[in-house]
Amino acid sequence: MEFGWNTEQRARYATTLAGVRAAFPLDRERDERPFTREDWLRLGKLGVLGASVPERFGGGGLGALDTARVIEAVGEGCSSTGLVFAAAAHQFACARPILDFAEPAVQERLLPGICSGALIAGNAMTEADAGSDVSRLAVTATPTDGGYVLDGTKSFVSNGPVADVYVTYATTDAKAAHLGLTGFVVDRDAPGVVAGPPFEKTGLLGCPAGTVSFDGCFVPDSQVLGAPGLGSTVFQTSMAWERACLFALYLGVQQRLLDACTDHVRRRRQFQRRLSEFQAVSHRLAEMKLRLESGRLLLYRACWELDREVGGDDGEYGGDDREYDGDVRNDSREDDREYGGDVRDDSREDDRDGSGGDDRHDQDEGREDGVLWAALSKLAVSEGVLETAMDAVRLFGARGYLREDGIEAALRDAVPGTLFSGTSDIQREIIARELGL
Amino acid sequence: MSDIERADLLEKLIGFVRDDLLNGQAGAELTPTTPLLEWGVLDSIKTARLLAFIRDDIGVRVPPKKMVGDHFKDLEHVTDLVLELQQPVG
Repeated sequence: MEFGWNTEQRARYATTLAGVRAAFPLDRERDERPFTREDWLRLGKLGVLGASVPERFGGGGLGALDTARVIEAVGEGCSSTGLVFAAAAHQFACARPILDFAEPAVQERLLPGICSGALIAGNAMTEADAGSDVSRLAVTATPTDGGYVLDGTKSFVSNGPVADVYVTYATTDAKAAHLGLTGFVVDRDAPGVVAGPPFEKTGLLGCPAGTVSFDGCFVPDSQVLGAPGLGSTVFQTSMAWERACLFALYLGVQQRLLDACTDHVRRRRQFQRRLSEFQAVSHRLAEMKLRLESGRLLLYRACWELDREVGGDDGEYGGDDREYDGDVRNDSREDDREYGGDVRDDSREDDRDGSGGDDRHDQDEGREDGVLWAALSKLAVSEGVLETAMDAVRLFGARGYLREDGIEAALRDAVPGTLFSGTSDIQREIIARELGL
Repeated sequence: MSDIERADLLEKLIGFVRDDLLNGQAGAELTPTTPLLEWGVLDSIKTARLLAFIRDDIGVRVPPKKMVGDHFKDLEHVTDLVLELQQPVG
């Protein structure tokens, strides 16, 4: 077991952090409005939008763990957490399914633009009656000559109002229930696609979200992801990336909050003493640090598991090794109520062959843990950042409640993290089932 | 695999679905051709539990690309899938 980063990894984090700080200097007004095309292109230049995409498509060619560190650095360096979220959702819920399941011609056409920032992608899964349980989608895809006709409305699509391309899911075989869904790539300018205006939201204001409707929208066979009926697996694969890597942005946010709070309590004095000298204050910071580092360990472990499941020369999904984790749950939005959970009796015995060494980790055993680690990580990081943001508000007092310092913004940005990519209760459900309950 | 072995596998799968997924309820109505997906016997969670059973008790890992409706429409098809995946490669 090795907990250190190598020279290249440390340098990448430092370079990304410095680059994003230079590209996105503190600007509270910017943080309160949806991102611009210029913002997006800057992220593309920094290598954020396609970090996990192979270099031949213009991406960074990084694995899940190194990609997560890039996202963490951007989360720490850029105060517009909504923008960072938009970028991460674009990559993990859109670029990854296209990379892992789209036809080569579609990959060639879209991935370079997705990596550079020339294109914005949105993941369209959530429906009015399909939140935690998206096994029966009201959006349908009816086979026709040369493709499918999509009809219906997706109710919450992050990046939806501004996206150039959507990854979406529709029912193609209602009798097959959750195994009758199919994933599609749909161009924004395809006839029949209507993107609604941005919603008024609580947090992540840098990321516009809205409805996307399909009204007799023709999608060619070539833009089916994987195969008809494989939508559940396609979506689940993207969720594996999202849960493992996207939440690294909240590690960056926690680091930023911890630094700001540490600085604040050292400077501010009350009752002729520094705030840091009050044990109630210093212990609160100790808890914030504990939460951050616990989340880091879990998230890095989840990414490590994902890296072991991903095959290919440059980070493409191997396809056969990841377990079906049993749910069709959630896209990259902020207020869904998804259901999910792998159900697996985790009753295997630990290393009883007497080898006892450090190099005895069994490949199959590790693969079986991927879903568990992703759920543990997602739960710890999303709840951790929420609690830490609330702690930061308490430590800053009235200043924490005002918009000027951006502390309350972190609290608003943290709330949706407990909802999207499977709610906290869904993660607990997954963990419980992983325990064989 | 012989017909007898296939029948044993099918019986094993029926037993798991009846006893573990349906908790013994409606067991008498469960047949090899009961439409598992259409009737809601298998939802997403129960599908995952079935896969765990196939992996842990039968020793077959179902790859994601096989996770389509045709392979899970009833226990006859699930049995065929498991048998197909048990075949040695090459």
